Amino acid sequence: MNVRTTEDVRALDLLGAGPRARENLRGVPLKPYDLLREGIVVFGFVLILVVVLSIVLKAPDYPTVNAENVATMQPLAFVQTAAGILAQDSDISAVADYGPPYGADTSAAEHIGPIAPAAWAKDIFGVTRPIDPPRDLIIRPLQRAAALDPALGLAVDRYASATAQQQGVWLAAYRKALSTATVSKGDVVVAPGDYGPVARMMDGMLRLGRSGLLEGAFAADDNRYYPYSFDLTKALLFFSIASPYTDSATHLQQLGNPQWGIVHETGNYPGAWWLDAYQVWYEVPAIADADNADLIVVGIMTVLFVVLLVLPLIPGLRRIPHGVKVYRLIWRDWYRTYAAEARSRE
Amino acid sequence: MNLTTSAQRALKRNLTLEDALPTRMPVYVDSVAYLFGATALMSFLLLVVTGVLLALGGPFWYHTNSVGRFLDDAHFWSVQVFFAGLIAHLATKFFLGAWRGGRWATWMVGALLFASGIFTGLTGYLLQTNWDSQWIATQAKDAMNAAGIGAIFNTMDVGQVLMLHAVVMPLVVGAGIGVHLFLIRRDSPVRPYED
Ligand code: HEM
Repeated sequence: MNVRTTEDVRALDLLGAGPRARENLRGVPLKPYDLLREGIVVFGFVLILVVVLSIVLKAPDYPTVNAENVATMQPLAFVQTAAGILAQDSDISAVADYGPPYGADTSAAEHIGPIAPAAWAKDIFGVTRPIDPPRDLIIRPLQRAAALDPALGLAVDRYASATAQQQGVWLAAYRKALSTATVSKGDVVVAPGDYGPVARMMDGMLRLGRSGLLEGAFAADDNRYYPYSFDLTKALLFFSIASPYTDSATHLQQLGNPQWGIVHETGNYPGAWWLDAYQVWYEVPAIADADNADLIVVGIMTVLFVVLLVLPLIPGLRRIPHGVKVYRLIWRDWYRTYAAEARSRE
Repeated sequence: MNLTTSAQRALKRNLTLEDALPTRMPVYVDSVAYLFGATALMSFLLLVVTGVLLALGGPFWYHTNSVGRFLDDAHFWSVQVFFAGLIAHLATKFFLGAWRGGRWATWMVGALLFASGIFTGLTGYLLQTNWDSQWIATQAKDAMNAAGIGAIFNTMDVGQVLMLHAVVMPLVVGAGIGVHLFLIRRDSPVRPYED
């Protein structure tokens, strides 16, 4: 900023300023200022910076990973995922035993002692995104595919009319057999065994996935306004905690660092680094290993935010800046040149 | 009571022309630290400009159109500059103890702007309709659900995400900035510590 003598600045007065400003600035020397010019200069600076960065570095826009990608690139992993979803295996299915907002059972919903926001929200709003994973993610899409493959329809009917116990036996046998399965020409080949209709159904899922029609089946289901559809919950949840998803992403060169959750952008671009203070808590082993890790981190961040919000009102904390004295640097001219004079003029 | 007269009086008391468009400043306003707020403000402006231009073509065209790609790149980098400016602003206002002299409301509106800005950023990442959105939507849902917010905000509902990002949140942040600037201009810059 320009250097000015104390004589120059003393000539300016507060004519036209409102009462709060007059009160606050009593005795303070003033300097000429041009708000609009400063605004335009800063805007110009930001504009140039952004345009240069955009031209030189661009921004990432990696394509998605969808069922077709996974079914084509990793057929075995695809079938393992589908079978895991059908079996309600919560290590594979993102929605099995999850609770609100996808299901009514709150026993697996995160809570800290009596603090259970997910369960409270369910009591207030109900189950807002109901998903029955075996039905919605496997059976219903297969029933649609059966229009093109009547034998598949028979398999689904047979499965659906079997007892839960029988279904479980077939599924367990099939999933065990998958551990030694091979892939031949894109199809998954399991050793012969008693899997009931399950092997046929999983083969149907794989072909449905490969056809690129699986997500369309999700979008059409329970949707009287199809083809209009904005809710991608089922399509995005299908793979979301299973490794085929991230493995396929690696195959497709959608590089990212899955360990860092929502903070890091793909490639070498800066991501949402302002969320580092949020994400870093997941690096604490005691938190990361907890069943309610998300709620713990949300709780910590809520407390920290409230402290930030009401900082001006907290005795002690609000005195910190006076103690650390960084302001002496920012206002060094003031303390060197004007402070004593302003005090005497007041 | 004449409402218009009252409004005139309130304005005269709280925001004169010289308050709103100042032509003089106290001499202690003399550091780049005072430009970080303006940096956040101007990148917000640029976000609105690039955002409105992107909106003209809908939420998908920029994947394949070169003009759209450039606007999307510019939107992305404006976000980075916005948060850099915002966090530098927050930090310097902290070190100046800039909530003194009855400026606690300015600080609190600022803190709420920080939170709204972060949520707006999240909805923006979710709206990219690419691998990042897909990854972030499935990661962020757990925290939302654990907090009970998942009952009304679904990271995987791209329609809701679009409306929040392109309509609701810009209005919230824009209104918050308006209040923030009003308070700042009414109160004038906080005085240095007396030491
Ligand atoms: C969208 C975000 C924000 C924008 C656009 C913004 C903009 C501004 C501008 C233009 C100023 C006046 C110039 C200056 O002193 O830098 C200012 C002042 C101020 N801001 Fe912000 N701000 C934002 C967020 C925040 C945050 C997050 C905080 C703190 C939690 C904050 C606290 C303050 C305070 C206390 C002042 C008064 C400074 C003084 O009296 O000298 N602001 N802001």
